[in-house]
Parts: sequence; C-alpha cells; structure tokens
Amino acid sequence: MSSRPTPESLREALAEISDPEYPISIVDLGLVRGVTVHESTATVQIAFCSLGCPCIELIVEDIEQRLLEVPGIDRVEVEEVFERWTRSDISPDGLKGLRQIGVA
Amino acid sequence: MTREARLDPATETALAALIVVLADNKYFLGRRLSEWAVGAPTLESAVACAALAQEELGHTRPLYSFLAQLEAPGAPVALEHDDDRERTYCLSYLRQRFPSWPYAAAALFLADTALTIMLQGLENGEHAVLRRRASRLIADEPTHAKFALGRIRELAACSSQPALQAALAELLPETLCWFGPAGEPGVNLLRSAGYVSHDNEQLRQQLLDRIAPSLHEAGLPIGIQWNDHGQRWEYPALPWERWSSLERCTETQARTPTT
Repeated sequence: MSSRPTPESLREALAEISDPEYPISIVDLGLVRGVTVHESTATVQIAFCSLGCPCIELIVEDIEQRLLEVPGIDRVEVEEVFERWTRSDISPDGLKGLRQIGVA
Repeated sequence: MTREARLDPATETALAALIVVLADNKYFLGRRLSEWAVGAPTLESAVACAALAQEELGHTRPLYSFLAQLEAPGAPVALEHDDDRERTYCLSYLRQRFPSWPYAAAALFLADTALTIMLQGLENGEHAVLRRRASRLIADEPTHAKFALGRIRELAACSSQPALQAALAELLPETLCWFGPAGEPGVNLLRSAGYVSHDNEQLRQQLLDRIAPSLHEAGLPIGIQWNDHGQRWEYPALPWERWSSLERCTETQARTPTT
C-alpha cells in the first residue's frame, strides 16, 4: 500500500520541476514558500522572482500537472503569496546550478 | 486573502477606490513604457523600458486581486486591455502615448515616484495583507527610480533640456494633485482605520522631498521652493478647478508638442 502524500513528499515532487528559463528546480530557486496537504488536496504557496514574469502560468501548470501525478492527490491549489524574492532565497544547490550555466 | 476584520462599507469603498487608482495607474504606466521598448533612443533604454513595463504590468496583479477579494460592491474590474472599462482612474498623461522621449522620462520620473510614495503609505499602514503586497511592489522600485533619474540627468545635460523642462512643467501640477486635496473624506476614513499612514498634503510633501532636490541639482527649475521656516516645500497653486476626484486626474488638455 502506498503511503499517504506528505508535505515533504510533495516538496520532493516539486523539486523535479525546473524553472522554464533556467534548468534549476523551483524549490532550489526558492519559489516554493509552503506546501500543505489536506486529504487529497495539495496546496502550494509560491512566490515569483518577478511579478511580471511571463512564465507564471507555465510554472503553475507544471506544479498542478506534477502533483496530480502523486498517488493520493486529486486536487492542487497554487496560491501566489506576493512575497519578496531575493538571491538569498536560492539554495546552495541552486546557486551551484546557476554558476554552472554562467548566471550566478 | 485573510480578511483582517470585516470593514465597514464606507471604509471598504474608500480602500477599493485607492487600490483601483494604484492599479490603473500602474497598468497605464506599464502600457506607455511598453511603447518605448521599440522607440527609445538607445538600445539599453529600450530594453529597460521593456523590463520596467513588464514589472509595472505585473504590479497590477496583486492590486487587482486584492480588489477582487475585497468584494466591494460595484468595484471596477481588473484591466487587461485599455478598453476593458468605460471609466479608468489614472493620471491623464498616462492615458495616451507619450509624445517624446523627454516627456516619457518626465512622466516616468513623476508618476512612478508618486505611486511608490502612496505604496509606502500602505506599507506603513496597519492592513497586514496590503502591507505585505505593498512591500513586494516597493522592492522593485529602486531600479525604476534609478533608471528614471538617470534619464532625467542625461536629458538635462543635452539639447533635450528645454523639452524635458517643458514636460516637467506640464506634468508636475497634475502629479501633485494626484494625492488629492487636503481633508478628503475617503482618505480620512483610511487614516482613521490605520490603513494609510499620511494625509494627502504629507504625501505631496514626500513627493517633493524625493524629486525637488534631484531636479534642482540637474538644473531644472520647477517653481518649487523649500520654506525653511515652515519646513515644507512651497509650490504654485494647483489646478483644483480641473481636478476630478473620481477619476483622479485633471481634465485632459491639448498637448504642446515637445520634441
């Protein structure tokens, strides 16, 4: 029997989603600000680097699509939190990945 | 959105009016800047205008979504196109294409600074959701301000100085009016509720604090003088007779062509 999804397992699934512009996961970029699960509904709180980011819809769609693949999840809510995003939100792995492509 | 506490209808209406004014001005500022993404005098300025336009248009999202969540009766819908609504609530000079690059620089410098000051008023207020959203928007503003001031200094030092001076003279009175006359009932309600931190005249003085020294330094006299005794900026009489408190703009005048 598969275990019920947890915020940690959902976060691992989210770590598989790359930012559309850089090959860095949205978790390592520091965009994911919270993950909760209630029964079969996953709620992801997310901030974007830029409020005018043209990739917002793509990222939201990727999150919905990936989490709906997780057994036990049949509804995904993505909530934008309008928080500040800065370089310090990027994880060490994210910074390393960005350096490898000549960005950071 | 987490509702702070149920607002009384009058405060809710006043808050919705303030938010739609901020959002509409950002929408039209973004639209106007986007038109210079292909027409600015240098490639760098064109790219910057594209980036700034993207951010200004992006700034409308948290504002319009807050407006929708307020559920104030009769609140205007979010703008996605210029003609989505019959009535819009923005500075008259943002409603049509900027006629010249000096005019664009002056409009950006004045409107963007005024919007930032109003957002800082919300950031210092007591509405937690608005504080957070205002703070997010303000985080982008230092680069906008730096770009605008850079263009002002650049244009003030070249043959475009007279055109820039004329544009500033034309746009400043409406920008000063934009904060509204002293003692506006809606603003008083929002101040009483703690949602905005300053009254209209204090906000106007903050705008002058921000722009007047830079303009003086750039050799652009704008008819504003510091009153040392009163500890305030003195400015010429504002055109309140042409001011629409509903649409937050002065009646559109025929433009003097600037080059």
